[in-house]
Amino acid sequence: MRRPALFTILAASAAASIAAGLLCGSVTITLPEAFGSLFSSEPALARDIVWGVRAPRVMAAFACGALLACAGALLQVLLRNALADPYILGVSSGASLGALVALTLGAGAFATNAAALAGALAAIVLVFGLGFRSADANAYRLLLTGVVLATGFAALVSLILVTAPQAQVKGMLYWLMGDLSDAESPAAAWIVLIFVAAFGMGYATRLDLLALGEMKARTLGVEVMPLRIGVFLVAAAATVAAVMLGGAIGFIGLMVPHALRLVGVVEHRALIPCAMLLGGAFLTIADTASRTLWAPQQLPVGVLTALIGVPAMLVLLKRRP
Amino acid sequence: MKSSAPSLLACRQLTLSVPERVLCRGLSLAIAPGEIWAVLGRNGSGKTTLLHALAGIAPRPDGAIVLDGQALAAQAARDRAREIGLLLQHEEAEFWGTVLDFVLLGRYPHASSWAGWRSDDEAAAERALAEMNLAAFARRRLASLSGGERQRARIAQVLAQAPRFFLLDEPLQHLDLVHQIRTLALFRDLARTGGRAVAMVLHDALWPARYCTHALLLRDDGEPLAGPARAVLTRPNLERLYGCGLTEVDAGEGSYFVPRV
Repeated sequence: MRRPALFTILAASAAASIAAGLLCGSVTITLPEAFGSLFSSEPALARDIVWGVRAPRVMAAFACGALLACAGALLQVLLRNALADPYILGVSSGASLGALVALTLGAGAFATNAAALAGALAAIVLVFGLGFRSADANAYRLLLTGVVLATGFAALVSLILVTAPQAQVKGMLYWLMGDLSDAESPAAAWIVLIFVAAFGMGYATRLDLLALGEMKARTLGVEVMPLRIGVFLVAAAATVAAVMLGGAIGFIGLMVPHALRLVGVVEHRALIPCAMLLGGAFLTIADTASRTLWAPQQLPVGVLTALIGVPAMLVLLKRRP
Repeated sequence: MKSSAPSLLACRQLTLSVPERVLCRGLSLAIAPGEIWAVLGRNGSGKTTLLHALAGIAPRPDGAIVLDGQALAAQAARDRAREIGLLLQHEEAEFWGTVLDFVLLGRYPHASSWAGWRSDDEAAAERALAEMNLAAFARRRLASLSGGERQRARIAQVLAQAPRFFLLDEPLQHLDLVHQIRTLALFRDLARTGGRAVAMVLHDALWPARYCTHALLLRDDGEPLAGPARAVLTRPNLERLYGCGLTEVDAGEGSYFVPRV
């Protein structure tokens, strides 16, 4: 597909997904109502619902999806592994462990979030310290360090789940599955997103070269070690911001970059912005569906990302010669 | 400042080693514009290690590498990549984009990273593709090319990089005869009339005598032999290098060697 056409489609999908997220729900509101309510001074139900309740959640979903897709694209380059996703380096399992420990101790929402953040940062520090130990840049050491630590955290999470009192388990499972119903303030995630986008675009050619291999990148004048550390830290920041908003939501970080590569978007100058638009739009639609399809029940959004994403990905894979 | 120093890529008292083995001791060499060096030696004799050290990408070279009178290690990576281009023997990763995208990446040392490729980058890449007979393949995916075509794309990438010093690790691998000749003639012209210098690893006893001005033999005893091609590429030297008997054949335009089997 031609590049400008694809970009236009993705931008339109992003706008459409945000509009759908704002207008759909238990009360259906039309676009004129939604915008009209902004400019009227009288109290209006439409304004409270659209701009007070739905807008923060839609913005959280979009930021979360965009961050996950970017983190996936960055980590697939850094680890030179097509199966890398934002959770491969143990960030989300570290956050889960932190949150579950806090829940076990009976902590409130704020303390649980703080513990999750601490767990995620601890995982990053551990993986960074062990994975970047020597001067030789070795993607396998980093990859295996992340996977091993993630497995260890997951085992501890299982241990907590098994030993926790029955009453706490459901809340814990909801934390683990990942959903956006508790996402309150997406402002921090948007700041991280803008920073990640700037990094991805500014270093786009260097990322292309790193994808060719470290030796190749060095022959063409890339300082590989600082670049790898930068990519690691930016991907980790994106993952932490996404996990703090929505927990571990699968599929997007792994599959969105691949879906774009399958339609021919390879260079990071195009891949990074396209991944943000597609990841953001995709999660926004999945989240809107998760809260409207079965209303008033809310489905975990991670279930829907997989249910929508798997067939789409299989079609793309089949289409490719 | 740079113009006062002779334009040379040189190593002084360089020791080449791989873990637990010293390949070559006390190698001193200077490569000047107009020269084409053949680097010959058996498998594992240090040819690749030498080119990596000269290109400044060996982690800690044991000895001094000097470019235009300045230590190579002190130069910024991008500045270095504008001066020295290295064709790797082996590339680790698959590339998902087109042949043109691949060759354009060779322009990274010259390009500004925010603005994308400029028209002169694209012109350089297209020229390099034409020189490697790949103009018709520009929009094809690199992965869809044959092994020899991919090797030509990799040579086109280092041509697009346009360095003053070309270090080529087995440039002729996978190439058919006509493209071997085309490649050698291209680099000979770059050296003769373009003021570039070339050092290439070859495994053939025929091409060095035809196309190279100088030769470096990396011998198993760790004592390298370097000098003008005519003096170095003799039957006794090559027989000792490879440990097999050679017959000298007079081809009218200089002699070459074929193995006695």
